[in-house]
Amino acid sequence: MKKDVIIYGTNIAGLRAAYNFGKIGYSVLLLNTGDYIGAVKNKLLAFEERNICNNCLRLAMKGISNIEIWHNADITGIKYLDSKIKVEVKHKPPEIDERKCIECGKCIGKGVKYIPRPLGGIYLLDKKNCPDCDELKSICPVGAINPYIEEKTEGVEADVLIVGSEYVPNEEEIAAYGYGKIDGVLSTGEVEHLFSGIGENPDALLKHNGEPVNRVAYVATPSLESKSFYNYFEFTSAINTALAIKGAKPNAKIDIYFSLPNFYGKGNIAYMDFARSKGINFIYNRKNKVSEGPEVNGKSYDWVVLSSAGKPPEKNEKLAKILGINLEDGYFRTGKRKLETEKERIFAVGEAHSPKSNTDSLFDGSAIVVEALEYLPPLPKMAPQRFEFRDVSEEEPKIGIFLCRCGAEYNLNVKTEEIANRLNNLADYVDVIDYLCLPEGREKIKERIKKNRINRVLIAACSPFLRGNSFSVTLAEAGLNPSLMEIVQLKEFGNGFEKSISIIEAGIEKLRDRKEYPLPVDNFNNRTIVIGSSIGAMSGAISLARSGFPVVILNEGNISPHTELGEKLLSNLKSMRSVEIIENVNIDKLEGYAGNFIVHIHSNEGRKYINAGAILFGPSGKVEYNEKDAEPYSKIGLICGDIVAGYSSDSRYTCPKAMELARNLHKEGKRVSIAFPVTPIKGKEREEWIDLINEGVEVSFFNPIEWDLETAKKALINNGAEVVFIISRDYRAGTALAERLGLDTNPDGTVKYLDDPYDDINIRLRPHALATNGIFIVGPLHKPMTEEEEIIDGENAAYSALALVKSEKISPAAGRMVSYTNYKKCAGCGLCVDACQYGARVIDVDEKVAKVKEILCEGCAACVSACPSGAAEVRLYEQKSMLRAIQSILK
Amino acid sequence: MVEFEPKIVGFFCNWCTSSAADLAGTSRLQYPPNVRPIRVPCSGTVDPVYLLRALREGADGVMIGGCHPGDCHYITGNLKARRRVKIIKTILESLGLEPERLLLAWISASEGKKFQRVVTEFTEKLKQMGPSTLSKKWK
Repeated sequence: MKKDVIIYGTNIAGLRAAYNFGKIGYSVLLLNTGDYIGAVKNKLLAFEERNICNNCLRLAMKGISNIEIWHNADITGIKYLDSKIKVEVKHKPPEIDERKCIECGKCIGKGVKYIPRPLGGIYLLDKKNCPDCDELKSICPVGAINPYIEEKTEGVEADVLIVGSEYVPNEEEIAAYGYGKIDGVLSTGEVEHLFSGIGENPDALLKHNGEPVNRVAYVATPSLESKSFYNYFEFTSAINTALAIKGAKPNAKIDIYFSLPNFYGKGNIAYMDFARSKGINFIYNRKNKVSEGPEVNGKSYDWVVLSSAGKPPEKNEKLAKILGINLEDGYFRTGKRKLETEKERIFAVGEAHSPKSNTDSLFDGSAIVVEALEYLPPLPKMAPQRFEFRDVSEEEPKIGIFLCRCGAEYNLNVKTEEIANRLNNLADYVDVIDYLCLPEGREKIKERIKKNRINRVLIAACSPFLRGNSFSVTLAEAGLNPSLMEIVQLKEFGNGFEKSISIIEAGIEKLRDRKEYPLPVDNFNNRTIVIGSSIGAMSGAISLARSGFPVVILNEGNISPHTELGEKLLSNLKSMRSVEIIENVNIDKLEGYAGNFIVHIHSNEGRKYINAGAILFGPSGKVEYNEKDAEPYSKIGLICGDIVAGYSSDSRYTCPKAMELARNLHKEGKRVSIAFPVTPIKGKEREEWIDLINEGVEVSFFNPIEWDLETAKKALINNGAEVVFIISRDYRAGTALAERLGLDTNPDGTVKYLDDPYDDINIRLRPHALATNGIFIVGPLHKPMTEEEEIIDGENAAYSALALVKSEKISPAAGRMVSYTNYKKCAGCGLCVDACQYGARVIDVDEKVAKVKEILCEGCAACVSACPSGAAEVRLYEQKSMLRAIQSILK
Repeated sequence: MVEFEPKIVGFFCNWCTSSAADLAGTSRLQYPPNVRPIRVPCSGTVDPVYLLRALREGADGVMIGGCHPGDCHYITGNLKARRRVKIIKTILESLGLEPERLLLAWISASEGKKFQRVVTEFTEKLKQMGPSTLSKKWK
């Protein structure tokens, strides 16, 4: 067997990488150690149910045919060939084949257990309750169940192997905090589950004995122990669920005990301030003890909630031996390139690679694609499928209803034929098919459409989320435009005979005057403009240029990297043929949208307009300290960290710089003391700080709750410092540029991106949303990062841009469901322009009507409800048909 | 006497509440079938005309289901819905109709149980309130 990429493990980065490689056309084998995706994970951390990220990816991957997933899998051997690797994998396919399963539910309770999940549940063999496995095999109508399936070992050849193993806290570790031993000790994940399904409801806050819960303590757990690292999800997931408790019960008393005050993630300090404003109490304490009661450090509570940090995954050890790689502190971060290991072609991502937060992991999952490209065949060209559609505009509407027996009977005790009988008068053709989504079922639809010249199709089956795409393709293959189809959900919605009939009738009303709509297409410029010259921006530019796409770098002022790494990247860029560097220009305006941006610049040589498909926005920051300043002094105080200069500088960048500086000054024989409010400690960095202390540098850190710049200065001067230098990075020029170009900024000066302001907290894996905007923020204006992290950030952005610029044509995210204007009714008032979140509507000044840029439209229909004259419409959702549907449903 | 069965139109957003209804269905949670769902792209797209038309055509109640604030797939659609519903409730009052007949609920994709609870409670409440008088008045 041959694949382009093998991914071992399903940590966030591994999952993301599988999706990303698959999306741009590479063949992927994903090895999952559990029996379903999501079975192996850090159960102490929340954000599982309401944040459907894992589910979202699970679903997205189902739809990408070049991703294959093996469950219960383990790597047992590897051979390094000349320009390939051959991995030996032991795996046991699940008894229920998820690719075949149509979720008809016939097997549930008969030896199969069902785990409900949004957008498609999980089916597992329940061996204890499977009395007769032979019978089970015959229950399944699609032959997806094989109770006797055996483990097998197979060799797989591939170009690269990516390790994405997961950290799962072990039982002992958690038991030390009373988890599973002391009544009333729970995990953040569990608290979230309590609210899941009922919302923020005080009913969820009950002890085992039924008494209400009023006092809750949160304890951040294994971050106290050696080798563990701080995943700021630990902190934010604690705050998030604590806020949910406050929401349900405003007078609940909540204390959050935290051990490492290093929450440098974007917006985290603001988030903490927000929680404090809601009355949540934060207690900094290095060692927290949970005892019977439950009690924390002797104080008694109703509940103690644990939130976990990260550690190197235990699986790393065994795997490293098989692969012949030396670990560093249990991590795979041993190679020359950012994510590569000692061995070529072997990469590691997420917590398998080094201490990472969830957001860092997400970036790894995209950056890895760019790094691995060198070993992979050229980017696959994915030609869109072309179909010939029958012109039905002249034909009389002929409605065909296809009822799926599986969908219709799932929740009903009636025969599908009875429903069909009731519908006979309403449509020209009604048919019951056993399993519509199976290839045989879809063949039948095609055949009947052609034979009966049907030109409007109503599918009464299950969720369009699950099967919508395959039915669209079925219609297209039958020669009908997919816009001539309406899907009615019976499986999930039809809990009642009359209700089923009525929602089908409403579906018919929506379909009656449906027209054929073309799929809007727009050309895509394959050039990327990189604005600014931060490390992240340069790293992104290099990655794109390496893949053969043209890049233009625009910089206001000279490009002068202050660091060795920066100089290296710059000289690299200068030697690349597909990179054009334009320095000392004024960047005036950014216009357009993904695929068709125009940047206006001017300099002494005049005005210029540059076109591009994607934008990387990454101005650099200026480090204000100059080493010569320290020369006259012998006792020096240094301050680094967040918010030290009246704007948010970032500790991730400035504290390592301060550390380096302290070391140099100390070597010169000077007495140095450092103060910092937010410790950038992540695994190995902590050891470095300890080394620094051992070398004789005085290090003190401030509890950020009490942090104040003046206090720190005073403390250092009282301690004997003659002068205090503030090591900060000023990126206000970048913020000003962002505002000039019309990008939204946060109060701390960073640029709003995705789910801001709390993108680190709220970030979703959102496979689609990431790639449509076309503007990607990198470097200090994106989030606080070290130089090393900025490289990955740039590669991450480069991947996002690459996924766009590689396609010559793109269609809107909403497909055919885009907005249009009925010009006869349009008064040109512009209310729809204000309502549109995506800038997809503009007023045509000459014709005095609102026009739609289809490619930007997401189909939300905000314009429809904003339009007072009924001129704004969204295709497949026309107002006339909606009103008819409402009328019909109330008959 | 046959118990009064209210007619309810449910405008459920495509991303959250429709998925929650999916989950309730696939988990086989039982709830009254009085709510007739209409899938809409976003709660923010539910035009006031649709709500009023539904009430005029004889609906005893209208339910709008959207994503939790901050979770909207279309950024702020649910907030638009919230504003709109507040205004429409005052209009209903002046038309002589109980504003409680209009319900806006945030139900996320994973909240199948919440979907079941909200639908059941709303149906029970409308049963107690009795049939809407609006359709008779305005026909």
